[in-house]
Amino acid sequence: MPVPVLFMFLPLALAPVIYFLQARRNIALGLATATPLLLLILILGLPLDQPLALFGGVQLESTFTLLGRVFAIDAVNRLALAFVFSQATVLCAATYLAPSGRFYLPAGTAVLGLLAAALFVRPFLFAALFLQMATALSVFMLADEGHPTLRGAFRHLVFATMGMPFILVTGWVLENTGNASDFIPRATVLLGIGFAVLMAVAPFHSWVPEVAENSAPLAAAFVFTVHRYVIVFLYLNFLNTYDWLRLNEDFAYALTLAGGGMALLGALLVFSQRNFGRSMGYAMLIDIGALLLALGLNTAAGVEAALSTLAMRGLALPLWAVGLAHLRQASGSDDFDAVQGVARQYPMASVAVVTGLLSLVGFPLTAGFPARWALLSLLAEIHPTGAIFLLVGMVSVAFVCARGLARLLQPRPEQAVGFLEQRLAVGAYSVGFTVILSLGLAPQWLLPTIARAAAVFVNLAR
Amino acid sequence: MDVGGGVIAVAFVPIMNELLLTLATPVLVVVLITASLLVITNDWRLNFITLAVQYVGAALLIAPLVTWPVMGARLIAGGCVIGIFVFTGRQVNYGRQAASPLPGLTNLPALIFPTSFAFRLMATIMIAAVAGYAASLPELALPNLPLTLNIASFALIALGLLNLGFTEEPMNAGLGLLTALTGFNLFYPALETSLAVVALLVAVDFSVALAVSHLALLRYPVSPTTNSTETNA
Repeated sequence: MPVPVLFMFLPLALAPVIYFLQARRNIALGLATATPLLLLILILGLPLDQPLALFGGVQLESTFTLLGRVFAIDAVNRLALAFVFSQATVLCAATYLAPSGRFYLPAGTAVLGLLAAALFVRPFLFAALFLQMATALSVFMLADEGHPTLRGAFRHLVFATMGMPFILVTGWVLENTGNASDFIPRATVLLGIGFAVLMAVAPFHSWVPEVAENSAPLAAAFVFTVHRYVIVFLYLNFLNTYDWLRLNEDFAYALTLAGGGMALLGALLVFSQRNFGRSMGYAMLIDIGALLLALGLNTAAGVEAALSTLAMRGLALPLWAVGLAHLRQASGSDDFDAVQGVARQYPMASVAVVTGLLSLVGFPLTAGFPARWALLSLLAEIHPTGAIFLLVGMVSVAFVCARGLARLLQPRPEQAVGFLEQRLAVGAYSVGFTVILSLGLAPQWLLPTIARAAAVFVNLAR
Repeated sequence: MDVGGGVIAVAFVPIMNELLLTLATPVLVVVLITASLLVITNDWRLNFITLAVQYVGAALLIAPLVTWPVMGARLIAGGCVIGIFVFTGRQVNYGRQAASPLPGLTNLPALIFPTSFAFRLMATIMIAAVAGYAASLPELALPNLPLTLNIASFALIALGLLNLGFTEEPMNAGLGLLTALTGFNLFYPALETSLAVVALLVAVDFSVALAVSHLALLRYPVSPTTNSTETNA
């Protein structure tokens, strides 16, 4: 039995079921949460390509062929899917706490199948096609009747569609240009442009703050984590596979330049923000910058730093998303002026938004700090300017958080005083804060595991 | 029967290919006109017809280089895309004035041309000329493809992107995105002939059309009583 079929088609088959079950909210939520959880357990635990005595000697095959293309499970995409499914489980479970659009759960579930296909397909350049389709489906999550500002969702679609041809043509150049000196410059440029577009490197970043500000927070968090994981893992797979790319110092330098530029751009733009959603959008630019700076190091330590950055993003964003959804429910908006005094009624949601933002940029005492500190230490030796830009970004976001927090705490005239948060939300926030603060103080609980996981990139770990 | 069908196909395909090669230049002109019209006008009804013609033209241009099933798949995909758009357009009265509550009165005004018509026309002519020139340069032209296909591909991508630059209204910008994708689809299936890639490219077109329709439905209220004339200029 070919196992890739299960990971590709089960989410796609369940998505319409979840959509039509939405009248029975708890069943839909349970199914949507159980699907990625089940797939997570399977991707971590299934023994592949060996007879299983339990099932009468049936062998679970790691490859599957469809229309002449091979879809295969290997160690790299197992790790990638572990990231994807664990994050999706958390984000689907979070819908118990915070509102999301009517397409969030079904589209999100379907997207998981397409992302799995993107990771499995060989040659993996064809992943660009599945990524594009996943982006088109994510448009349904990002824009709906409750979030009718369409610009961010549409730009996300446009940029994903624009990035796809560059990756596909790179594959053709690699296969059809005989002389290495001919194809290396062309393929490098094409691949660089393609990934710059897909990773939202400036000037292709404009959708990020728009989505953060105007879409449902959980949907934005889904796109900023689950989607981005696959793109980063595909890039790492490229590096791991192609020596000409891994050994190209100019390309690594371009990544460093792009990363430093993104960190600085995010730092400059976030400083003047007066909206929690948009602030997260610009903080994301800083985080993308950190990721590119880590990848630009072109070392095993850099890959470990990149994976740690991704994992910490996955911890920060659900907390931010749930908190922001509650703030928007309470005040109708997440502008600083609109949320005045909300912390007196929703203290935990208010702290969750601020903590999520701070953890994303690696502020001390949060979960993001140890990974960011490790990256800063690496950068300080090789590219100190990049480290300074990241620090500027951290300080800039901290200023915005301080300004927002002051507004949240400032009482409104004639405001009713009272704690309005639900018991379930209080429990969830408590778990979130405990995780964020514990990992900030004791990173040895998680980061060594992530660092060991980076060893799947055999050629990069040398 | 099979033998007879095979003989007919063997005789028929070369004749058709020769005919298509002869018609390549007129078809190229038609494709360029359609891409230009999509930039210049904002009228959904006209644009849907134009896009349909563009899909047929693109399929005819690529036909000599690909197998007939591939060309058929492109045509069917185009038909599905147009079908989705027409269905969406009917839901929101083609992005214009709400439909008349009186039965029998459609209340559709004359074709809409944007206020920046002259500027768009000039930009379209300039971009098409630059794309045509770039396609004729040996160092930029895509190898192993005829000049007509190179020109069509460059021009469609350039004009599609130009359309995206002019508007963020989902339907018209979406048509620009699909035009750019058609430009890419003109040369890529000729390079990468596997059936899986053709199927996936068709699926990409389809997914873009669905996403664009979803955004258009959000932008324009479906209710016939809602007076929501958001300018799509």
